[in-house]
Amino acid sequence: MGDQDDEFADFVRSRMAALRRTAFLLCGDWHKAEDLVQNALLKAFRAWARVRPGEQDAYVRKVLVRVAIDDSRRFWHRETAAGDLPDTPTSVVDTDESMDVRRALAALPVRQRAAVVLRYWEDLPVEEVGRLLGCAPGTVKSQCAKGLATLRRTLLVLEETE
Amino acid sequence: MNENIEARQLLERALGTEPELGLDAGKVLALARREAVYRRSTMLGGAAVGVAAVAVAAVFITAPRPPAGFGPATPPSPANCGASVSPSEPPSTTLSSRPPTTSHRSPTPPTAAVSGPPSVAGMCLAK
Repeated sequence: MGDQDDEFADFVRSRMAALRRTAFLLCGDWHKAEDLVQNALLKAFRAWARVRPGEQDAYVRKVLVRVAIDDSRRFWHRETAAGDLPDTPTSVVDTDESMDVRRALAALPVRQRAAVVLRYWEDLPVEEVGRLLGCAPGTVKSQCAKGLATLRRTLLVLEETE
Repeated sequence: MNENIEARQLLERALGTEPELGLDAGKVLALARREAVYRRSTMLGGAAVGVAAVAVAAVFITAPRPPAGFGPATPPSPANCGASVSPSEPPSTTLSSRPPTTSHRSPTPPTAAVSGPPSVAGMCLAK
């Protein structure tokens, strides 16, 4: 049990930042991203003994994506499309450019967003993304293409309005 | 520009400036351990309740039943009286062994009230 705990702690230490980035791209909020990562890690810990050493990263990523999708589907966390993001105090200074991309990303449906993030950010092959999302590779391809097209279009509109 | 590179650059722009990491590996591990202990104890408790429920149900099911004569009184069977009656014969007599409870005063002592012709049951009692 001790070895397993040490192994898990090492994994968390080494992968936490990257997992939080992925979670942020999936949900668009740094605090929520930390909650999602923590929930995913807690779920992964339950099955840690059954996960093969080489597949831990893929397993945790899969759990994270599912946690993020489930969380966005909960009716009390359901996203509402807002023209303007509410003003919230933050410790970091984000450029208008990054805010625009976040808005455009938030406008994508959650599964489409997950496909785009896994395919282009995590650089996973189409088949692997299909396995993670539980859909066919063809669906992943079309979701990624649609998602990217929507991102471009939304960014163009946002740039024109500013 | 390659589609993959373009998409990756877009996503990098979305990340912007990353705030300080609020998660701690030790904290996550401690939470995970606590949750594992809680889950294990909940499962053990649930299993104990289940075993107890099955045991109680088994005791009720396999408990010895009371003997046949122990239950509610059954009317005397005509076979005990040495006479045979067909089951289709309707009962025609009302026989009461209790003392009369009516206020009717009669000079003669109360006797069994028999209405109609004597039946097999009545004959049994007469013996």
